[in-house]
Amino acid sequence: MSDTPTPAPDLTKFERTQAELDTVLARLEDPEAPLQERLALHVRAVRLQELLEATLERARETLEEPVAPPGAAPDPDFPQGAEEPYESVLARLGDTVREMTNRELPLARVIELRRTALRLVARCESILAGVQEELDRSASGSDAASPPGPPPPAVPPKGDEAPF
Amino acid sequence: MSRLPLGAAARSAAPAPGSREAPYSVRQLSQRIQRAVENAFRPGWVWVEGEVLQASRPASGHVYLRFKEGSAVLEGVIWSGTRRRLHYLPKGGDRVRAQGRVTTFDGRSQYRLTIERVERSGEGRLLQQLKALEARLEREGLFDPARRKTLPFLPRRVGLLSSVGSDGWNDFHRHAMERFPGLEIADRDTRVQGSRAAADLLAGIRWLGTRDLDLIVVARGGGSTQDLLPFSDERVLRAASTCPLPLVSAVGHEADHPLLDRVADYRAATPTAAAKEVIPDRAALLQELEERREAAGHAARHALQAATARVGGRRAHRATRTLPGLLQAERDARRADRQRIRERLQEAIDAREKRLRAARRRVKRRHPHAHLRKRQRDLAQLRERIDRLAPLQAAGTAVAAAGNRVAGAHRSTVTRVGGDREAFDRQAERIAAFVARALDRLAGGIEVRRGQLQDRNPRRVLEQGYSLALDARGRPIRAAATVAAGAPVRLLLGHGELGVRVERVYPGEGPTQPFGDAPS
Repeated sequence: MSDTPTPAPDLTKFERTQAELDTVLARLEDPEAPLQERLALHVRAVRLQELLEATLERARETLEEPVAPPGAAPDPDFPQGAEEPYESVLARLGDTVREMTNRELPLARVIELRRTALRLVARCESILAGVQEELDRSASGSDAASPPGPPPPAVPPKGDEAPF
Repeated sequence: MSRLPLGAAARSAAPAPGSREAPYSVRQLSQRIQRAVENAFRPGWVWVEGEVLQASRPASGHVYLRFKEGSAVLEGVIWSGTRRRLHYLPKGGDRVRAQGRVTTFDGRSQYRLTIERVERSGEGRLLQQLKALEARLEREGLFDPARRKTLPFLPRRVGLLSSVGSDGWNDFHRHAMERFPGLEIADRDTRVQGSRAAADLLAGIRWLGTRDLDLIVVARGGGSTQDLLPFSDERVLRAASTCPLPLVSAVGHEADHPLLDRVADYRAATPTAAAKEVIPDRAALLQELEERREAAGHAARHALQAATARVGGRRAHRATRTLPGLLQAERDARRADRQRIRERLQEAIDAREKRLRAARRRVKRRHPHAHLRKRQRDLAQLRERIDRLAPLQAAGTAVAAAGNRVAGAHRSTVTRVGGDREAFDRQAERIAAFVARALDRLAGGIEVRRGQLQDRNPRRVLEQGYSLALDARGRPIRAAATVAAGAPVRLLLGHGELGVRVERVYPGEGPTQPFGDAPS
């Protein structure tokens, strides 16, 4: 129906597009709107709706996207590198997931937070795996010859609470 | 003078009204009483002074009063219309002067005072007594907040002193059980109104005070000052103040608080409020417990990790024997985190999808098809109007051509709706302009022809003073000889017409003098 193809979905523009659709619909529902304008508005509304649907579909795809393991590249999520204590990572994970519950956040921000949260989880799991390995070595009595592994769990910060 | 025999005299006299032979009907007696009462207080208005025992104000807007003095009781009513004029409305315990009319109420075999004016003349004896009692107990310290016992946080067994089955009793039971299912409530039935209520309450408080309970609730629904007097009885108040268990007053009231409110360890406005304020909500408690348990679990885990880290290396060997379970729990928790993270994003997407669905419905509803159809109907109506002007041949031809062009343009427009909308709009404007011009031309043509018709109208000639003579068949009379004497003739004038009869005929070649006298 539209003359030009629907542009590629851009997650960062979802809210702006949605606001424009609301405006267009409000005008379209104005009984005084002349036919000529009404036709143009309807074409625009359909385009915006298609764009939003495509953007949401793109967002759904991100649900299945794998997250790169921490340390694979310069990682802004881990400014302290591998030395960051488990509890500190856990606290950041809690903050991140809490922020995701904010209904006012733009969709792109929620997706970004999801990526960060998954990387934090992966980091936690990595630390736990290291501790497990250390334990296994200790149990087999080979700890004296073992190479240095990941750092043991550190003292939690004062007042640290459950992540959620 | 003759005398009738005694028996005959008795037979001739009518039986007295109200006698065995001529009893009153119920209505008759009621009417006689009404007349007697109203006549006794002529001219109809009396003043009466007394203490208001009870004042009730139902939703009807009327106010019903009960005055009492010793054993004598007088009912009174203030109709809602009168009530709106009054600046003061009596309440229980007030001493008042009221002016009104004594009337009977035959529906209930009662009399009462229909009050028109009322003034307060002071506090009633009852109110004075209550105030005196309150002052005395105050001096004795019965109302001292320091005497109040603390209510248990989680009562297991509650003694309820109330009228079993009453609204207040039901309210307390229902709300208490909603908040804490399984709570034990020991009921003690009592009168809560009337002369024997105070003794019942006294016995009830004493009895419940000896049971294995955590607290006692004394409950009653709303009531007037008079109704609630037992809850201000001195014996009841003293029993409440010495009760070994915490006591809650849950007595609803309309005006003054019963004194039990001041003696009790806790006062609730109603039985429902008592249940909500004294009985904890089990579900909320469990949730709080769960939150605290989780917090304690986290704290313990962190403490263990801290200890593990402090000991370190081999010295931590013994402590680390507890770590495998801890590690497994953490791994499980992180798996759960992954699921939560997914759910958060899914929720965000779902919320937007829901809003988009609503927008999609709006877009569909506002499709321009409906408006296009309306424009088509408008065009069709225009064409019909043009067709109705067909008698004007030349214009009709133009209109037909216009109609064809409109139809063609319209068809072209409709077929191009899906494509070039701007072209459609331009066409629509051109069509509208063309039709407007065609209509203007038609209107002008009609106006010209209307003027021509006006000029040829015979009435215009008649209005100048001429007249037209018609015979009996309505034909114009062109020669006098064609009419016989005595024949009826219609004369059409500029305004109206005349029905005349021919008196005499003057046949001649030419017309007579138009403005001269008729030939003799």
